[in-house]
Amino acid sequence: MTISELISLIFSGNNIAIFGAVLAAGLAGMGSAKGVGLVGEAASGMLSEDPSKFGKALILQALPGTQGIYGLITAFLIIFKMGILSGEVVELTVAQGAYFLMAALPIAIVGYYSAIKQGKVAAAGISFIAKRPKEVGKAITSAALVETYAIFAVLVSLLLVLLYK
Amino acid sequence: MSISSMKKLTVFAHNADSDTLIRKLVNLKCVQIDTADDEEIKETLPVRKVNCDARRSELESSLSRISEAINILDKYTHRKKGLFAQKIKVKKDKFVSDGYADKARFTVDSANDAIARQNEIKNEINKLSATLASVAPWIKYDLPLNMTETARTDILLGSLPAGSDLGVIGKELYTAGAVAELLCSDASGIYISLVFCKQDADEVLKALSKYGFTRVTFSSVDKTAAEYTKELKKQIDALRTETDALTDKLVGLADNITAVEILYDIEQTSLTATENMQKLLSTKSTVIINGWVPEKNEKKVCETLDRFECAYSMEEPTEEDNPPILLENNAYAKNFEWVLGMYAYPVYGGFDPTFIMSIFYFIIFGIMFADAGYGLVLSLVCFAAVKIIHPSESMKRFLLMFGYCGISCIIGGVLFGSYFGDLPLAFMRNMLGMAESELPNLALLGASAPNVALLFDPLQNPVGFLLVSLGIGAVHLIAGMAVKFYILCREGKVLDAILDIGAYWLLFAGLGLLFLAPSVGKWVTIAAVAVIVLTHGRSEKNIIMKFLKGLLGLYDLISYASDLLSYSRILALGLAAAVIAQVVNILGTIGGPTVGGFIGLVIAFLIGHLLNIVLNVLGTFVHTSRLQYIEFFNKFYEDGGRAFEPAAPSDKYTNE
Repeated sequence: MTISELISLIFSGNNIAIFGAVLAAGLAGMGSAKGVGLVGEAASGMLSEDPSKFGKALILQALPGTQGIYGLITAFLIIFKMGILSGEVVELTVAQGAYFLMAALPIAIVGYYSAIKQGKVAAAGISFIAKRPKEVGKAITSAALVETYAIFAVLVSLLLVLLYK
Repeated sequence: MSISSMKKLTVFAHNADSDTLIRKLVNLKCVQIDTADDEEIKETLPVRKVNCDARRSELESSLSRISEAINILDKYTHRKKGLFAQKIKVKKDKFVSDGYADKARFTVDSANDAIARQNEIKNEINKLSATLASVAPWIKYDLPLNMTETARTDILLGSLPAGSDLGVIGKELYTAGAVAELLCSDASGIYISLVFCKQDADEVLKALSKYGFTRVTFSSVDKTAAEYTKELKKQIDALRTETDALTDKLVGLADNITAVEILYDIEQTSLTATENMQKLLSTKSTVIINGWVPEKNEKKVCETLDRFECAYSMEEPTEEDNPPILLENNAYAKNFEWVLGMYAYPVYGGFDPTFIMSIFYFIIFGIMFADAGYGLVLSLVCFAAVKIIHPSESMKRFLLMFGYCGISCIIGGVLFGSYFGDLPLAFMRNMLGMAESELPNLALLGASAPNVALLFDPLQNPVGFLLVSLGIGAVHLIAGMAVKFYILCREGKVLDAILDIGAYWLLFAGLGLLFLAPSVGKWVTIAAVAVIVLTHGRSEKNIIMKFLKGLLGLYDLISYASDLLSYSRILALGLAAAVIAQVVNILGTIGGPTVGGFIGLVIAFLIGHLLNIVLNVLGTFVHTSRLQYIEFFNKFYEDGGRAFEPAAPSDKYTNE
């Protein structure tokens, strides 16, 4: 087997599409892991003084987790479209595979950054509710504002994948 | 859907009455007492703050003892507790006058004393057990443990490191003139006793020091180890018996836990009254109470005050006052007040948007989380919880709100064909083995693939669902502008309402018509733009500024557009729930129509769908709220009020 044959075998249309799914789930998931971790660290500090705020802290901690879910959904939709789950795998050309890879990029990139940024806002929200527990709504809303852009990104990714004929 | 009118209450009462008066007001549950602004009055009157710190700290320590007693006794009761606990119905005055309060206090003291003694005993037993362990190696030694010498000889007790070569050491000690006896040998060391003549002491100690000998002394024990062990065990047994007796006593006391809980509420209410006392100002013989009463409760409060010898007034709030906000809504909308509270209360005299918000909340929640199965679960759980656990008022409203939203999800699910995701289709496909052509295709709007939707399936027609989302957004935004229109008209600024808001509606209509009837739409749009450009700068004096400000008015169109696009999150979150449900269903039905397959389905169903519900209820709640807070309230809402929180008796355990 020559090198060029090996390369064309690795970079088949299907593999490129799967790479897109991997990026969507992987990068967005990494971002969420980092974001949720940031909030968790801040929350533990507050909870050691007042464990009764656990419920509120949990909501804030869960917020940066959604980007990972959006990435997962995009990955699943790509896998659906390729017919891997139903057992009738569609053979994609390199161009078609690249289409899915591109479609996955919005949520992969924006998901990664927005989850980390949202984690920072939510972690700041933790110190906010440590002092003013009744204002939890404001802390949640601030963090939810960051998520808007992840939502727009996943919307673009989902529409591109779903509308693929 | 309104903000309750408030009356400003000022009372001058005798000092002697103040305690009773405050208690009565607390029991009314409709008076919020303000902290007196002493700076202002101090200059003109010889007044000072009421000081009851001593009483307060006394109550606080009493309360902590009572809670401690409840915690202890709760472990010894056999009653069913937790979720199904009902509030105790009791007349507290009678409870006190019949002497039950004193009995309860006695129970609290006994329980606290018993538990303190039990802790003491626990420490003592630990100490004795440690001593017991330290004499255990010497059990075979038959001299009193504190005996260190006779007239001519020295007696030495001690240990050598475990694993020492006894043959060599024994021989060397024998040479030095000592008689050694091996008493015990275990992993911790080798325990020996030595007897030697006093003149040989130096030799013996020198020999011992080579082998890591550690001396052990029992200076206060004049018995043999065996006798001493027996005595210690007896002491421990006596302590154990005592602690068992105390446990029995606590079990007996636990029968009175209800009385203790009632006492807790009585003391907590006293603390509330005392805290409110501290907010007041007093002169030598009077106290001054400043507070707020909702207008509807005015009569009730007056009747109470009339029974005291006091001077009081109920006034309308003035511009400078900051009355607290009490919202009044119908039985449905009041469950959404807490969502408004999480944002901010409206200013006094402002507009209470709860009712309008509750309608849009219901619709948006249902479309965002459109699934009949999930909605049914959400509604059942919430409504059942309200029926079964009798939650507090605020918890009840929280649950009811999600219960109503669940109904909305059911409607959304039927419209968009989602019952636990695509469970019906997945079931027919994989468990019943139906072919694609046999699957139902119900959608009214027509679809190429099988579905069970009334309108259409969002996964098959995402663009259609996006249009639905944006359509709801448009209605929501226009409703927000309509509220502003109403507020402006109420303030008599009809012209502002028409030029600022009406003109934009005209512009929206024109832009819409551009698609439907371009020839008409064009002129409507031009007319609207002209109105905006010409009138938006009407407050400016300079003609150039008028024109520039008018042009700037058009810029608002961009913010309306971005607000509208924000509603696309309804589609994104809706798809998120649907896709995860679809994955769960694929995994669940992967086993096919076998016994194992059905078991797998049940497991995947329970775990997967439960997780999906929890995740999506949180996400949907956050983003539905956000659409209200940012997109909707932004159009009209004037916030900044403080919530009305009247002083009220404690109802942690009881209900009068």
